[in-house]
Amino acid sequence: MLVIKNLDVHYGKLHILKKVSLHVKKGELVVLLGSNGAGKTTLLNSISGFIKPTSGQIIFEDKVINGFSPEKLVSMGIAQVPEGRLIFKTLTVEENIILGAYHRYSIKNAKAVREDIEMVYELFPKLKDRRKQLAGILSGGEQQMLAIGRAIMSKPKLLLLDEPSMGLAPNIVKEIFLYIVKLQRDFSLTVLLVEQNARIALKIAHRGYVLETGRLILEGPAEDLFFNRDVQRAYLGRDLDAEVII
Amino acid sequence: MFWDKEKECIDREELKQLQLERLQSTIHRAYRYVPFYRKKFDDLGIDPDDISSLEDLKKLPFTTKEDLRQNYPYGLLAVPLREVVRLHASSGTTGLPTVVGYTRNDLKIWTELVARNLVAGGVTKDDVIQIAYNYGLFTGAFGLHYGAEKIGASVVPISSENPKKQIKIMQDYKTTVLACTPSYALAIAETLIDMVINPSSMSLKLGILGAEPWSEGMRREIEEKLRIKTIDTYGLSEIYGPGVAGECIYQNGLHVNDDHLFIEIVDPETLENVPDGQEGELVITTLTREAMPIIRYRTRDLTRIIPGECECGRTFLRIDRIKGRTDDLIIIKGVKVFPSQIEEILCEIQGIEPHYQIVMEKKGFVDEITVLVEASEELFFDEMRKQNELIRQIEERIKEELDIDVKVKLVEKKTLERFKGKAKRVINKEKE
Repeated sequence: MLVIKNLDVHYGKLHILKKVSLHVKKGELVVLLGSNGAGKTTLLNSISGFIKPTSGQIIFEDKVINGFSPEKLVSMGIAQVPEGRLIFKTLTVEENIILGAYHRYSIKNAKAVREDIEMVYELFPKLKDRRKQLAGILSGGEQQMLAIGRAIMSKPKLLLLDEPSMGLAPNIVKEIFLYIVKLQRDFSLTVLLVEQNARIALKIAHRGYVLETGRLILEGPAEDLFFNRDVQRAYLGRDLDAEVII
Repeated sequence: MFWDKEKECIDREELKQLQLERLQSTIHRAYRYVPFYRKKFDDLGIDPDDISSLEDLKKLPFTTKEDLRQNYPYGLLAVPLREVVRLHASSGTTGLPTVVGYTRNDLKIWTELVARNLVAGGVTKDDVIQIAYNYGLFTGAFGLHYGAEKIGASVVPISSENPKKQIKIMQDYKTTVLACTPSYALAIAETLIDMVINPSSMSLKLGILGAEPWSEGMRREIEEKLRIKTIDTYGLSEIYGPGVAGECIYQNGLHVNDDHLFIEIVDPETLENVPDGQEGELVITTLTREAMPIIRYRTRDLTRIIPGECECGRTFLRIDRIKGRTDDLIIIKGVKVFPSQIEEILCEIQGIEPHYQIVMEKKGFVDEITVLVEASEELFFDEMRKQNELIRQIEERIKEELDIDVKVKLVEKKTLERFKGKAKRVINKEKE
């Protein structure tokens, strides 16, 4: 579904992504691991059209999409849940959700959009209870649900998730990840997930990549990555030998 | 039958993308963690970031057996030794041994690759597989052991016991699959004949043979004598061990495990890549190995890529059966000959056994080659004239087909050495 070949991205003179090649197959849940500054968000922003790559190809459903505008990409079926959720705090929950259908909103479509809102509520009942409240007063977990709900209002085929666990309590992280699995399974969404919490991400992902200082250094099934030294040391926050058993 | 159909029948375009991703990762890891590669790249002015296609691999230097020796034992590891859960060594067929390390993931992948080859060759979980390779530093036995266990076959780790013991176990355990070198399979077949046991009275039906080059003639000989089907497998300890490539039940070329290994065929002299279908030296790059990523390893094994698709539906590349090792190449008066080519001829001639040895000697300035062949019993005690007739016939056939002059000497049955592991076919008297 998504194929990236030799993607190079510069911020001015800074070379952020260096010949990155990766792919996500239809229905797959792929995780991209990497420490801060490795270029993970840059990669997602390149796919969703916010950043123009210097060179390389991004191919979505057999079409090269480099340089397409974010709006165009949303209508093609790529939706991003940004890092830090970026919800509109002064709008109500429902208004935020409706904004996700902005590109297809018209009187003719009103009924379909209404149905989709109900679908989001069905998926996240907590949001339904708070539909009239301002989004700013939601808890972190609820805001994350809202950001995801808003993204799926655009009826995406490919969902890009940027650090959904950030700043959330462990039990809430678990809840959010269960929703991600549900979305991938029940709505047959294809998911590319950027995550620092490698432990939980590798549990739900099929495959993964490890990005270090702009280069991919590892690709493999999630369970193999879990046992890889680089992943263990850098992202699971432990060195097996250093672990002291008391 | 497939072990992992989704991967073994992967769309070639999809495979190329996967190979590129894995190649780039491998090169970054090798450059980052293996001082040998870092130095080599830096010396040649190669930037690992410049590799943007599979073709770009051609820009990279080769890794040779000599490199492995010079970095003996741990110099090429890309992970600290504490991440290594297994060490093996090359069987040392030619010269000094080399050491290879495996992480937990490497062992897991190795197991998968062997499992694929076994299933492709017709092994199922209902089989009883007797592993008659030597268990030790040599990778053969362990690789097959894991693969067979993974698919659920019943593994008999008999190791390289003598042929009589092998046969006893085969009978008692109702072994259905024998895994060993072709030369050892032949030794077992002969012992069977000596013991006057009808092979059809046993359960054996399949031979998974490898670790040395063997000819089609040898295959027919083994298949007839043991009344089994034989499957050729290929591997080398520097690249996991067995599991690099293997035949499927159609016996028309060995399927390479392309998603974990990238192969090239190069001209052994110019080191240029040759077009598909043309014979040359097999060069392998590992795509997923953690402990010891190897870039462009010169295997010294000669083969070719077989163009076209296989009936079985696998999309992996196929290589032809290994014709020989560049080390075993006999050059006489400018003509290059592999022992396997002589073997092929010997297998076609009546009155002799396919046990042979090639002795090279220098007489004055001239290389002289003597082929020692075992005669069948009936013939040996017959008159001289028949013997001479046979010798002349073999010499003529070899001259005709290979254009070399050799001396043939008939020896009594069972006088040539039998090998439990890899057979030693060529004896160079000057070097020894």
